[in-house]
Amino acid sequence: MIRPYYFILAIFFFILVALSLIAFILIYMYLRNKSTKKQQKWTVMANLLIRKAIFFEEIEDDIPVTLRVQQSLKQTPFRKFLTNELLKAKKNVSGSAAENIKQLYLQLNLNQYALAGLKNRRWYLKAQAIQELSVMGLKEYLTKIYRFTNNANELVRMEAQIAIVNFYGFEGLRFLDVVSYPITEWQQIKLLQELLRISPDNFKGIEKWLKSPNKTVVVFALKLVRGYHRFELHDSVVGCLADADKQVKLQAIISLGEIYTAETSRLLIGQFLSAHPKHQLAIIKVLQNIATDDDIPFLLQQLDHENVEIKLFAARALANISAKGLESLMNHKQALQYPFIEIIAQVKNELAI
Amino acid sequence: MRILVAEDDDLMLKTLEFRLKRDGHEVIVTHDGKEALEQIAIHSPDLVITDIMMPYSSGLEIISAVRQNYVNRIPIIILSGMYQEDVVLEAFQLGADDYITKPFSPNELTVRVRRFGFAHAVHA
Repeated sequence: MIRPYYFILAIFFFILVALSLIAFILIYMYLRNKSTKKQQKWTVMANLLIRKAIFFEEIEDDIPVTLRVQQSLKQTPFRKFLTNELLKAKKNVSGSAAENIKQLYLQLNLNQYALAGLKNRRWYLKAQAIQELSVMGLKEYLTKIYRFTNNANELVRMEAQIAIVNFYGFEGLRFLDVVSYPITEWQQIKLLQELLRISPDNFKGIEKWLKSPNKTVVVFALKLVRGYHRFELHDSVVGCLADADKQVKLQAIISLGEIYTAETSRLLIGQFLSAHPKHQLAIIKVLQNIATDDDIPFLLQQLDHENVEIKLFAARALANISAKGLESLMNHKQALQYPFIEIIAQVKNELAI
Repeated sequence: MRILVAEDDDLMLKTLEFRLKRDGHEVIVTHDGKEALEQIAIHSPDLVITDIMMPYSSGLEIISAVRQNYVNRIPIIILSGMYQEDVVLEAFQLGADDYITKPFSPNELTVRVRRFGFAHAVHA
């Protein structure tokens, strides 16, 4: 039998827990509500100011900033919030509107906080500061940012490299001359994407990057060669076929498919037998587009290769060369047997399309 | 002109609204693709300006729906941060009339919208 004393104690304890829980929920809701309201107030303040800046037309005057905004800027959270809103706006507008946003950013001295971020030991603050200065297009800080292009931290390095390209376009790629850390696949995609917005204007440097001791730089240079069809670099790319690095060799094969000459298919065929299976497949794929009638005997040989994928691409290459190539494929000794009967049907279908 | 703007970024939406109103247009603002399609059905705007990446229905879906469901050809301007060739081509193939990439100049937008306004006045 439970003593009444314990029973009362249990009820008291239960009520205490329930009350604490209710108090916690109420306080939490109050704080959340307060925070939401503050956020809404900040959004209105920031939006009004940015809109005013975007459509500001007085050339020599400062953009009018209310006392309320000026005072709120003393609070770090608001300053960060406004900076983010300015960055978002700057990414969306161009021309005089973008210049006005930049003017407002400088007028509010927000660049000083970004500069302090550059000196901060924490990598994420550094990366954030670089991105901020880059989006705002503050070229005067280029030298400060440039030294981070070979920073030990991957994200700091990435932001700095993108910032430099953003500032100087293809000329900004000169960081490739000195970068010793790897340029990741993701970073290469980001850089190529950034470059898409800019006119290439026959940029220089690729030849040097093709000989870089940093293999990821060579890989990136090979992507530039094929992306911008730098035919004059054909021989340098052929030189990369001898590279011990598998990725360099693979990218060289793929690039040759874009900047080929009459000699390219012969050169690639010369590499085929001693090549790694991955490279063999790449060579056959490239031959689909660049092989000539002279390559028909080699391609016919590859129809007997043990790798079915190589068989398929060799068949495709034969069909793509000329009527003679297609005829040779159809006359293959096993043309009516599996898998050739299916491969030929597929290839003919593709030709019809 | 009555212009419907579909844009999920609030600041961008307000900026566009402000600019277009200042240029003398009547502006209907919508925050996502679904709302845009509903408002198009209600208001029959003279021009639609839409982003591509939006919740519920994308800008490309808006073009398709408008081109399929409306006999009167409503001009559509795409205003997007996506500048990849395949996206731009797809937008035009679906029936977009103009494509402005972000970052964009509000002054340029005014001029481009004016072109459609002129065409609208001629056909009215």
